[in-house]
Amino acid sequence: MLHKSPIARLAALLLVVSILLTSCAAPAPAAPLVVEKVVTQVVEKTVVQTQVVEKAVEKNVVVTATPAPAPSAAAKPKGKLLIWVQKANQDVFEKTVLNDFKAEYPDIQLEFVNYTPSDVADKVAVAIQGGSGAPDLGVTESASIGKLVALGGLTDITEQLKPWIDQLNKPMLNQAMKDGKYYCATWDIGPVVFFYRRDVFKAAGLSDNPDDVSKQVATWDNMLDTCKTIKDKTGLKCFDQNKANNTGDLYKNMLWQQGLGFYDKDNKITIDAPENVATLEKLGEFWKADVVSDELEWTDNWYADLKAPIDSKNPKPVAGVVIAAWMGNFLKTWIAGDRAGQWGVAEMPAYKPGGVRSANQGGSCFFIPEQSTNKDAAWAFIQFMILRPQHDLKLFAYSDYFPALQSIYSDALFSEPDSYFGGQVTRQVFAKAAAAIPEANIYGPYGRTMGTAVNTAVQKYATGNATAAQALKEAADSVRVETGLK
Amino acid sequence: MAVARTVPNVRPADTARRLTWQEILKARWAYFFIAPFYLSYAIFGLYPLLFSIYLALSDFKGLGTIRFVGLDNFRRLALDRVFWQSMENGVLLFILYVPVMLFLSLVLAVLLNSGRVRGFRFFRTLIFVPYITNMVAAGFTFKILLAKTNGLVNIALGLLSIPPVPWLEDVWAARISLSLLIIWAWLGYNMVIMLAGLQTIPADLTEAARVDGANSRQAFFHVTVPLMRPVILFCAVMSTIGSFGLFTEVLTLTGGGPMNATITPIIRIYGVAFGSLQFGYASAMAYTFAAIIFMLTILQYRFFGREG
Repeated sequence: MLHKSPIARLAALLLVVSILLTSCAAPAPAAPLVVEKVVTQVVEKTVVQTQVVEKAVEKNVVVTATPAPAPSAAAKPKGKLLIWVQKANQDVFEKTVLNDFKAEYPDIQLEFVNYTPSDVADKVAVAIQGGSGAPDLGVTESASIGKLVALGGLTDITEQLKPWIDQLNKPMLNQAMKDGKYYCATWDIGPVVFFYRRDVFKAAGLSDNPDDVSKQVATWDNMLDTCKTIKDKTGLKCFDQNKANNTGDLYKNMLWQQGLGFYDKDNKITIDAPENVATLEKLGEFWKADVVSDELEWTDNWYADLKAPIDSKNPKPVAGVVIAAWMGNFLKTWIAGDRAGQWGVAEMPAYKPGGVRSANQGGSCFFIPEQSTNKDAAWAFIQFMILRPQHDLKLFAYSDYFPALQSIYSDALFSEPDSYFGGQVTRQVFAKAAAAIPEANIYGPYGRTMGTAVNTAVQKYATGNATAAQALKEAADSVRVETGLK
Repeated sequence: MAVARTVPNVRPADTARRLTWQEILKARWAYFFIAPFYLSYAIFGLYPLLFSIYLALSDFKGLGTIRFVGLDNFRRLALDRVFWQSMENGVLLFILYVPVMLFLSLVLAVLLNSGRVRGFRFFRTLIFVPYITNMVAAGFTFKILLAKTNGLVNIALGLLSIPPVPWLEDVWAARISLSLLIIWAWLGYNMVIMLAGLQTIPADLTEAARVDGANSRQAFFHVTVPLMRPVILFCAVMSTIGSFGLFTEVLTLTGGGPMNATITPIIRIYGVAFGSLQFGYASAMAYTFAAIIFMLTILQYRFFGREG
């Protein structure tokens, strides 16, 4: 019946041809999506600037670093530039220097697509493997860039970056280095410090002067003693360290400051190395002494602990938090905005006397995929935004994302007192910590895999389900099986 | 007088005779019409299936060469504690939620089918709505409700002087929380299937049991449940596959924790493939997982199915 009808034959032929053409067609570039991903991490929170910080933006800043040469009119790139970046970062660009960029490069049409930093890395990885779909420029976290660098498919920007290589924070820049070549320009870093509640320290009979506090918590053993004092005198806990769902961040910071990590220079797994086990046991002393609270970081209860007044019974305030410098802005704005004057910043405790008092937590960088159709424009954007000292200062002044460009640390902005922190010149503390960040193998190509396994180990140890050695051995074995590394 | 008979183009099902090319040519338009499906399946179904068998025997990181490694990936899998933990979690989750969910969905189906419930369609829709609710939203909502401090559930328990329960921080509590989410989400779906099954059972059989002196409970367990066996088996098999294949619920509610207590095989495979870029190893994992599920399904049909 059907085969006798010419119309039916034609319809069937069109159907088959259309299916075949759809299957064989080259994939169209992904339609731009503005996707706001809801995550439990803080990075999606809107950054609102205080008046003090906005004032700094309007000041004439004295820049001592070598300014980058402006491109000649004839050499100016043009065309469309597709940028994958998280919304909060796009806001920073828009509120500071983006209009200046558009004025200097009127022929570059910018298109932003919002993804979280980890999603940027994952989606770019898929695009690289698939052969298409990558943006012209991406901003991802330094913790994820190692995966992309190992995968391949990123543009080598060593030549372009040469004038700035010695000015950028080396340990963080090296997160995106392979065989001597650089694949990502570091924007911000996360030097770890100790944010403490002045009122809690005073209530415990301790000095709240930052220098005194830095001495008070010179090592982790000193920190433990301080926590015990605070608990005895005020009944308050020192900081939050959830057991069952521990994020592993503090443990990783303690490893980082010792120059330890999850693998060595030969890519041999060191998750279960004796030093790593000892470090976890050191952290365990805080749980054993019951001086830490069980609230989970980046939850409402954690924020409540950080902003609770000294006399609050529920929630009870904690004495502080050991975390990266970017936390300062979060405390000022959406976490504990009404606790102005009650916070201070001290150096992170060293692991041993005389040891390094810094680590890194977080940070982000700009990269250009090989698939980029406008690499010149992408580099122009990178150079304009984060490698021109004046602009890097503006981004920092607005966002408090601590810059990787060390040459600007001598700017007057870094000497300004911060009224939120009781008039303390906090940026000097951050700068000192930034300069002291050691090299460590915490991130890297398998950073997320190793980090997840280590988090589970910390949780098992903290909840008493395994000894530190057992938990880390299990994590190490799991990573060895999963990655194929020894 | 000879009677003209139309000989069908399609060969009878019980004939073992091979098709001739002439017969195929005669039925060419039929083949042409079914071709799109098979072509699509070949490209998007069969080819990836076969390619991943090759990947399972190879080392491939998503880019670059595919290096044949034989059974090395399967050897690694034997030592992968997290994968076997995820399989154990699948079994535990099955035990925790499947019997409860199937029993509840059968009871609800029987109640709705009894004709004694007013607003039958309203209640059927109400119970079905969670199935069509976005699982990401549901997962996050459950997470907020089950938060240890200031979660609504613990606040309610506090009113009854019950101390706060670490719903998402204790290994077993997290498994129970996940089971509650799955029961909430899938009860309606299973209930609708059971309802459809109940409506094929003649009412005479239950009436006959009643006439013989059986009460409602006896009629339910001795008449309804045996007759519903094929439907219950279908739901059980689908739930078995589902409990090992949980993804969105786990990712949004527990993230696989605490301490891998709720990680499922699919999440493990996803992490290995797209987190560690170990596509070969992930393929080996996927095939092993599929083989185990297949065997479990066969066992279920063997033990609980009955000949048609």
